[in-house]
Amino acid sequence: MNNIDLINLLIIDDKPENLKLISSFFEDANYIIKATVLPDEAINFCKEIEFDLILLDIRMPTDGFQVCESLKSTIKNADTPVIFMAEKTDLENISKAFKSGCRDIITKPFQLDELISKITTHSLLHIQHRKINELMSAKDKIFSIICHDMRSPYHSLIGFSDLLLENLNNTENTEAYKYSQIINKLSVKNLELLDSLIGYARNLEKAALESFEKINATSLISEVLQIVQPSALLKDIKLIQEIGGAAEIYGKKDLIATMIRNFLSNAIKFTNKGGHVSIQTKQAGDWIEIIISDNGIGIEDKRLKTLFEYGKTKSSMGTNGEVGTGYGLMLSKEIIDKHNGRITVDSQPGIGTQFKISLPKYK
Amino acid sequence: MNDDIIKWREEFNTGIHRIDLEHRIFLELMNSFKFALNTERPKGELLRILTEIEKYAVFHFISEENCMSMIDYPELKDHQIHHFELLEQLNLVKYGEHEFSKFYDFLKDWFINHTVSEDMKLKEFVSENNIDINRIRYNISV
Repeated sequence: MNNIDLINLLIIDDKPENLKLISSFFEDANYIIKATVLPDEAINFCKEIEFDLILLDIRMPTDGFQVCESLKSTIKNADTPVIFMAEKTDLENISKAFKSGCRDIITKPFQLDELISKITTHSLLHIQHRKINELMSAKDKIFSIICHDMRSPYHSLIGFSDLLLENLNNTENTEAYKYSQIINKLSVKNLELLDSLIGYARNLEKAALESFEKINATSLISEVLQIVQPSALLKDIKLIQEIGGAAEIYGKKDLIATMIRNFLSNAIKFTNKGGHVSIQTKQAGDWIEIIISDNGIGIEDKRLKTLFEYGKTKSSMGTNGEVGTGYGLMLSKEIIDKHNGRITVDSQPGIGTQFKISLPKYK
Repeated sequence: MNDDIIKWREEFNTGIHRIDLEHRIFLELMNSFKFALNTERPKGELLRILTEIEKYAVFHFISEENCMSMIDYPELKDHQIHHFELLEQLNLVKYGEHEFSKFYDFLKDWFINHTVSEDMKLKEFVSENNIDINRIRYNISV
């Protein structure tokens, strides 16, 4: 990672006085300046150094646009922003420069404050841009390592529970067989979920319309209910599915499943022992509404307002001490947004919560 | 003081009304710069006059280039380079790379030579090709 305190600036102008003048403005600041009258030397600099900004005179013995192209063809400076310099009356080149995609223009005679401000702003912007990219790829790397480490135990769980099931095949201990089956099924489901999450995170931007399909909401909800059933059983919570006619959603199946699972898990998490959680589907014009209600502890008004905002919501502990990551709601909201859907929430502390999710109907 | 004032001379006339008019104003700006230099006005004041010269030069150069473009003057590109050159020099003096008095000498030399030699070439082109002066005056292209 480059040191962000120092800005690498390259200046090319055929007049040495201009180089001297411009360099002098940045002497005390955190700039490392390379200045040259020779385009060839500039190209050599560009092969060695990744600049944060290039300041280039258009009117030189070698055409500035050509020089620019050669500088940008170096691997290190393909993305470096270029500011061209042109005389104020050089209207033709000024227009050409903007069309050629330069970052900005400084006209001569220049205004000192403007020159300094443009150079500082554009170089800092570029550094921030580069830093974001570095952070993103670091995040991706960490993400894939975590995912890999999380996936392996599931393979063991599936493998060993398969073995258990084989061994328990003829046993009279039906309970042991039943629990092993639950462990096995849940592990398989969770591994699938993990894989789809990895895929989702990797293709967040690529989650394009083409992968959307017709989804039968009723059967999808039944599948998800099976996944969350064990945690409801633990708290003696009754899960109710109310089916309201054919409900076909247009969307990405694994994402919708993740989202519904999140809301159901939350409902179970925040409902006291012996309570109930219901999920209902309804048709409303071009929309399919999924309504998830519980008679749990509810959400305070203050928290309700920022429920889906990034970084504003911290994970709360469930009624049975369940922990969460705090990303569930945010991820769910993002999935709904990707489907151009809507979500509303209605809650009263001590009485319960109702989430209404509207997703586009398959046409 | 009066010795330093450049008076309008017959040889400055290009015969193109608009250009001559603008040259007269340019000359006045140069004279006010020289006056400020001679009376040792503070740097800030000199810079303000320089800004006025800069703005007027930009205006006048585009004006002159427009005239040339209207009549398809073949040396327009070369002439434009002279203009760029002056703007470059102006930029250098503005930030103290050149001294004010040296810049004045440059300006004076530039005005006299540029006007007499370069702009006179335009005058010759106009008369050799029998170009209607009104076309230049009102920016009428063919």
